[in-house]
Amino acid sequence: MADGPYVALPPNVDQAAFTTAVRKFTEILGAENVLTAQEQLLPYMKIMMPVDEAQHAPSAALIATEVDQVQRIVRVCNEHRIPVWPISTGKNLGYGGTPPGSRGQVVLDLKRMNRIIDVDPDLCTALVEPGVTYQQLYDYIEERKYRLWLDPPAPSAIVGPVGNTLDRGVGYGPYGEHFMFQCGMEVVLPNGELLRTGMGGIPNANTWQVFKWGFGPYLDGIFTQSNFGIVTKLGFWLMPAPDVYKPFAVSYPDEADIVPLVDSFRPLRIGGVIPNAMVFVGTLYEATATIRRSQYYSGKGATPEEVIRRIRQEHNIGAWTAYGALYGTKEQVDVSWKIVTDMVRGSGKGTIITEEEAKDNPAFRYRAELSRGNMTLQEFGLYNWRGGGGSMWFAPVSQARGSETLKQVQMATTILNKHGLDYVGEFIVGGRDMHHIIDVLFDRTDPEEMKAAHACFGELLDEFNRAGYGVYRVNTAFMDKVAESFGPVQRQVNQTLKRALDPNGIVAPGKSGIRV
Amino acid sequence: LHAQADGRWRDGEQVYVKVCGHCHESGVGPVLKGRGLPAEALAPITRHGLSAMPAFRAAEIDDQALQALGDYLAQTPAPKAAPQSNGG
Repeated sequence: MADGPYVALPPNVDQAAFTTAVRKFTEILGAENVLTAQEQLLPYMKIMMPVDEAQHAPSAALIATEVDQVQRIVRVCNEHRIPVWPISTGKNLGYGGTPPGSRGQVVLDLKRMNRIIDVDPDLCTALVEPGVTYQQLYDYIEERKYRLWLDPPAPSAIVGPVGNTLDRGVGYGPYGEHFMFQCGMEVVLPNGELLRTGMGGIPNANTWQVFKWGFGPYLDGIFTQSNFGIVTKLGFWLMPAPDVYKPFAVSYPDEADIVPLVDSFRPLRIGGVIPNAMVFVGTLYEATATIRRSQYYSGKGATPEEVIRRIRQEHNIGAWTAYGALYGTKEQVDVSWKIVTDMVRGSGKGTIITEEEAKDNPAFRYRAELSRGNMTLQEFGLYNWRGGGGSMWFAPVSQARGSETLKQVQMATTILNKHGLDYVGEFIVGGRDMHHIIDVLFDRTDPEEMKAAHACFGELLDEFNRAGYGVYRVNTAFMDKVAESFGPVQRQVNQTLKRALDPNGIVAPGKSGIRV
Repeated sequence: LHAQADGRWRDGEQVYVKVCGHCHESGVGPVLKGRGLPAEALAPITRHGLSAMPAFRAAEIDDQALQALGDYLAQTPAPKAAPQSNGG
């Protein structure tokens, strides 16, 4: 902590006023938990977006460990109009990472607020603080030999359920739609009051993590992808470990096979035969588990089609690979497996790959681990495809209808290639919906490519919007643009709520395009 | 290796296994073991991130744990066979 000069200042706050606020933060947290020096703030500046780091530089970072500290910080922020950007584990890679949404905001770092408050092995529920990681929770459950499985997203070990769920992230098991399985929340409101949602409002309630809705309006949703409060506890449901787990893959040779693939698996997914968040993975997404682009192509621009074909042949990778899994008793799994294999064989398309056949294939292995809740960061191989630290997730929502998925793939590929970038995509299957997840990968050390990536992302948003599509989540550089795409009425309602709950606009201004 | 308690790591090996090893044992990042990498070399890369590698804050891995990680890595032998690598 120092009296400045600072790395950045909050908007409309001068150095003297900020110094006063920093002194108050220090009284609350102790000097070692109030970071203002450049060296201390560097880890809060790493971004993968194609913009200058300076646009997202924080003025300070505050490390809180107790709820009452968060409440007191919020009160200081109101007094001095200091905007505060809360993070839990702060690993929102491809969506903005750790840094605040705009320059000069104070990061409120809740990583050290990391108590596992309760895991109930009978009711299969958990209640945790924001800093808890999936690795920490996984170890906790293992040590106690609870028969419970987690459902992490791909950055599993280093991220946590609170931050991921609050951005409505997804995983790959039967509980893959994380917000759907969330139950009970504790929120520090912008005025410093403490709200417990659902049954949590009843003193001594023991049903906070078992019944979601409580009484009256159901509020949890307004605290996800929003800036209406700071979540300090989150409850969620855990899946009981099944007796048998059977992951499998089905490989399809042609790009157009996405149509029959989606249409043939949809009934099994909606009908519950395949209970998990299946993924339909494109060639290059699949390839990044084992290879990088420079092994095949060193030219500028998009990877040529003949190179992609060569990668398919030499590595035996399909144009599309479907990954799914079955869970239950041996009898249940056997019955479902027959339905799945009959469907695939009957369709005349696709080659089934069992776990035994896949052997040590790293792509199959990490998919199998994710769908059963194990820790693996194998998918970070994506960031080596081009290297250079540039990545943005372009993630439009699609119907789970074959013709729609093909249309989106073709639209995205055309736009990406036009800007010299590759289609590296997969579909995460919700049943009726798809999260079409496209990693816009670029070399952030190359100024030309950085410019191209920025233009490309804008065009992807525009063109998809024109076709009636919207993204489910986006990085901090494009939040306003995406908020705009959902229309003025949604935006006005969000602003009305923001003004009512946070009149001084101190919590994460700009998150999802929401400001006072 | 047990879960970390209250955000404090037990030793350098625990940090390695629970965080770094997920990438640096699987070919996502380069091999770190057996290279005599001192903590002084690890610290700036860990704190600032490097290209494809994310940065890690003191709130995640504090300075003491980072030192312990360096001490642990410095005395590790090189792995017998490099993992199938796409990292660099």
